[in-house]
Amino acid sequence: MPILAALTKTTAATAPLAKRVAPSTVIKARSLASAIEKPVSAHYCYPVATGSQTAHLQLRSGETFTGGSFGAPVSTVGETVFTTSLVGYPESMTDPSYRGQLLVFTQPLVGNYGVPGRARDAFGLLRHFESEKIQCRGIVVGDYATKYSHWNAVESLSQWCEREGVPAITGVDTRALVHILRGQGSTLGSLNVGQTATTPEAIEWVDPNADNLVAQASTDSVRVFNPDGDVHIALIDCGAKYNIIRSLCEQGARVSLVPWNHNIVGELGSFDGIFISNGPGSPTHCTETIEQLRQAYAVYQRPIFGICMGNQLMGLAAGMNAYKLRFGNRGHNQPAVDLTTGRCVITSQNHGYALDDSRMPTSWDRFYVNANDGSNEGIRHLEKPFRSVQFHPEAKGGPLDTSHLFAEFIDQVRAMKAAGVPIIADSSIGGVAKQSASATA
Amino acid sequence: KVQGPVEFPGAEAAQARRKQREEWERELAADDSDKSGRIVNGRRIRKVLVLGSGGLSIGQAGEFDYSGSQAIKALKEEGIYTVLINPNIATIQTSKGLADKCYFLPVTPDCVRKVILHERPDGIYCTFGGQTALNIGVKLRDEFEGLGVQVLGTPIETIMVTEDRELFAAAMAEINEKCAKSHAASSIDEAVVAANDIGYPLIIRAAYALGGLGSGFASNEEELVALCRKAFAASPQVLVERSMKGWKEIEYEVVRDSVDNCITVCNMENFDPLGIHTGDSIVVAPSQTLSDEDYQMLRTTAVNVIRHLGVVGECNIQYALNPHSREYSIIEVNARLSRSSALASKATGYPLAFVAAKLGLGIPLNEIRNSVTRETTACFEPSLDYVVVKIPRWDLKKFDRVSKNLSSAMKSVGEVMAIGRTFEETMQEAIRSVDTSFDGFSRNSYVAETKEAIEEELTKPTDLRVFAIANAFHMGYTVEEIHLLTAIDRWFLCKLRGLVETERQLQAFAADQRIPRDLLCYAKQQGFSDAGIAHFTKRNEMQVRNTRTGYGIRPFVKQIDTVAAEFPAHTNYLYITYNASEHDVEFVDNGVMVLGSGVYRIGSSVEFDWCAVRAIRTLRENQFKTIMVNYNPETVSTDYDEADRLYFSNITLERIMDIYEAESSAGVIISMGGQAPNNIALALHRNKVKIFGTSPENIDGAENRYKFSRMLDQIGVDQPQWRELTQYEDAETFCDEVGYPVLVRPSYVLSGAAMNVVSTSTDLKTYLNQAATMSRDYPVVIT
Repeated sequence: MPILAALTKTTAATAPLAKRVAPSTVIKARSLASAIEKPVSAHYCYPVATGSQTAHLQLRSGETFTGGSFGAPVSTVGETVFTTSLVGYPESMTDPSYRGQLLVFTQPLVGNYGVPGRARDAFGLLRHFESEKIQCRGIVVGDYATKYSHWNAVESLSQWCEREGVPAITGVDTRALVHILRGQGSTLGSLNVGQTATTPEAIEWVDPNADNLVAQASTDSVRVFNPDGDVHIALIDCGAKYNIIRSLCEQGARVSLVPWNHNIVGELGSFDGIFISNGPGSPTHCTETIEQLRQAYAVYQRPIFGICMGNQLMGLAAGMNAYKLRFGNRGHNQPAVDLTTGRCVITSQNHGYALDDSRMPTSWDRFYVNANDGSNEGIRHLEKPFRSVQFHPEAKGGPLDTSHLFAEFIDQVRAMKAAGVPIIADSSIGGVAKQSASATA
Repeated sequence: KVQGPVEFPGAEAAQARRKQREEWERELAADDSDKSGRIVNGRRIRKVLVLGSGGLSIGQAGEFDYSGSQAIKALKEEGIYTVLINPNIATIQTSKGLADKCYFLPVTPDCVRKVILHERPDGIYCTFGGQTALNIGVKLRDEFEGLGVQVLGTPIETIMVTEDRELFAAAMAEINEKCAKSHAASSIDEAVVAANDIGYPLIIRAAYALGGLGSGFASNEEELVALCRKAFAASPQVLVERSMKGWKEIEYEVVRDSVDNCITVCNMENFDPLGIHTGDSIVVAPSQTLSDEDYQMLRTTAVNVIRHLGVVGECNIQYALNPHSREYSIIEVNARLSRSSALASKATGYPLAFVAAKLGLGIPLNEIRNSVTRETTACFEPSLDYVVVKIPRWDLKKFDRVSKNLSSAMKSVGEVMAIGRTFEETMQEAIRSVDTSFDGFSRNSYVAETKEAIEEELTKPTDLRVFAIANAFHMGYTVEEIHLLTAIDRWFLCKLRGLVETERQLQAFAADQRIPRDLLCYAKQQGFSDAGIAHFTKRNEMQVRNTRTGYGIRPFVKQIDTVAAEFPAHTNYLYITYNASEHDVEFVDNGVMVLGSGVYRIGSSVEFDWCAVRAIRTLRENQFKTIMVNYNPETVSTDYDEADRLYFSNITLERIMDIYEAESSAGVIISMGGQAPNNIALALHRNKVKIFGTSPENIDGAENRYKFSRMLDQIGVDQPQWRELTQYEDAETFCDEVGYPVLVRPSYVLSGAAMNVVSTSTDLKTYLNQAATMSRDYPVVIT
């Protein structure tokens, strides 16, 4: 495996070399380090287009990438992650799942179609974005297009980033960067704008994953969308993308967006269905949500559905374990096989953790499996209408192959409501509701 | 780590399939004991007939040699006996060791029927031989059943629907998809009704009228009525169609298997807007000016359409997309491998033809492995972390009285593909690949720098449009002005505009001034060649190269792995870029380089691909490590599984030297690629590159008319009186001396290109001015 060998060599050689690069040489070195003559350098340089400021991307593991700055001229620290998607930067950047992260685009040409305006749809949601603001802390691209061209664009990517105070760097060999990230998993990075690269020691490394990112991304209070809907869905907001809300509303549901730690168990009786959204960071911060779900499983008889983070929370609540994937699944091209039909669908994904489905809890089965690495892509309950998927059926960006899951969910909710299936199993209504009510009181 | 397809015991459908297969096994067990081959639709397939495309023609070239060869490889892997019909001896697919049996017979219904009767195959593929093979399928469709042959892959009925405009429109209406609407009207009132149904702007065509007489555009009813009056004077009927002039042309390559898994492998955007045949357009992959919403809208449509049509294998769908809204219209579906699929296959690294052949055997997509990564499934959509540009090559100069204007009929004879990490870099490399005399996107003499000439070329494109754009920028035209004239998206034009600035900066340096490192580096990243930079700064290529290597500016080698580095891959498919900071691969092989044929031209075609592939195979059989260099996507030599390393790169002195040095190659074989590598032989030799086979000095002895004729004199072989000349005046004097007619021959040309018989002095002057530029480097010999 020559690539892996080369990779380990790179990372091993990097730390001491990085220190040797004096800040003064960094400014002038608008060059390409030639790997034919010199050993692989830890300093990746790039000439900067005239007129733009120099920017540096420094990884905690020691590598430095030099390029040109665009967007806001500020510095930031975040977890460096990548996406292999070909299109969809406005959607990805406003996706709350990328909160606290420096987002690397493997497609080198970014910014081509500008940024669309802030039009809102009938439900009051931004039509072209997945949340109100840019969620990632910074972006890293190969070749930023200073001039954009699209009928729907109102400003350039740089103007948008600048307005929202998000820094960006262009002129980075993103493929070399992905080689490093792929090998070492979660890597903190520092994006600083200015003439000199600082030494790794001088950077104040703050791991965004130490915070509860879900709590930051979640809504503070209950918000109701499409109040005239005929079925009432509780959408637990771990950092929900707007298109999840929209997809449910478009199916005719009344959606109550509730905070991640909302006492849902106390109100179970008023919901015809429960939906758990995607969200940033590690699922282990959401013990409160997991506990709520565990209690709901015991008594709730109507459909529950989870997406991404929701899948992990539902699995953890069912008694499964989560682990960190060797290579995370990030892109719009991930194949997932539906185990109930054998069909393979192409999905949009962005996750570094997965459920361990080697042993399933009683009454639970695998729902979807990744056709590339065999990792879990979804689980389902064998008797109750509880299902979840690891990928993003709401897409934005990504393929729309699985958007039917929303229709199926709402159809099921509607059918069970029409059939008069009691929301809560009779035997335990009092017990759980009272218990949790007293717990919160 | 997962090896091979993932087994899913819980999948009900997969289980049902397995059960069905077992049932077939039981049923078939009675009449045979031989368990080889595969069972498709209840019949055991052991022997398969593959139809080739026959002789090459304009619009149908090497891509079908590539797709047929891939299909045969795939079938052999499944243990199936393959029979091929193809009369074209210059192809890889007909060479020994590929198909089990090959018939050099014309691909006609009679011959195919005879071969079927003689060979009694169980199945037949009609989708790997272009339109020729497809037509056989349509003609013989009723006979196949009686002959005991099953059509594998896409059913003939599906092909017929996609070929017939009316059937196709009806099929699209069934799933509420939009085709370009067209109505026939025989009176002005009818035309107005039709117009209101379709919506303005419209194009009005007079039926049965020659050369577009009475056609025109109408953007309101008034204009429509005026146009109709004129049209009805010439013709009894007019066709009212939605005008999509200036719309973007977008293509998707779609793969579907027999259990309805469906993916899009690649999408491509045409640089030239609608109006020029996609085979004659400059194409960029992946699309560059589409947002996620646009991209997914067209992708979902593609999947729905292909599922509805029931294609099994590979196909291509083309759209027109309104540049000012989300409105789109389906132009056509090609339910077979095409030149676009060959391009998509090379652009993404996804072996489309190979996979399509396997799908024809009823194997589901997710059970086929991605042979590039070897660790992932074929049921995925490649992610590109580079950009690809395709430019067609026309040889219109070789034909007399042929209109050079490009339109809806394909005129190109071949195409080139370039890979890079910025659009500028890739576009320039592609332009240079089309012909060695092109410097890239720079000021040129191909289009005169006058308002009339430029605007004529921009509005009525010929093969020189891209050069007209370059000159227009140099004359001071703005992006907006050129956009209005050509309707090419502003994004592409803005990128190209940047190159003009760099060229001007370079021109500021006189021959004795050193080019600063930053500028040189920036120019290289924008894709300017050493030769181009030398030209702008009035020095020679080697001086620029020495300055560049002195600065330590060298290109980097990157891999194409289909997954944008998300997973480790073992790919040997490489390209070269200056927009990088490290190599993807290590150089330890010291392999032998084989230079390919480059772009197909009239006079240089698949035969040189055959030579290069045979050379590579022979070297590998003899345990030599091999490096293939070529830039033609329609070839077998650019298949990732032929050589140990495949460089998808231009064949120029600069690139070959770069690869030779980076790889520390053992030596270069230039004799397999025809004229293209021959042209740089002497230059390589002078730069101390080890060349295997005939010494470049001896090649020069044969190619250089002067040296050749001098040698004939020396060894006493008779020949007509001759002289080598570099000046027109000398030529005229010589001609007067020996008397007309004379034969004029430039050196280093392909199959007599630019060679001509001249019978008067006026002709001589015109000829030497137009066809052959005399120069000190390349003199002309007159006999």
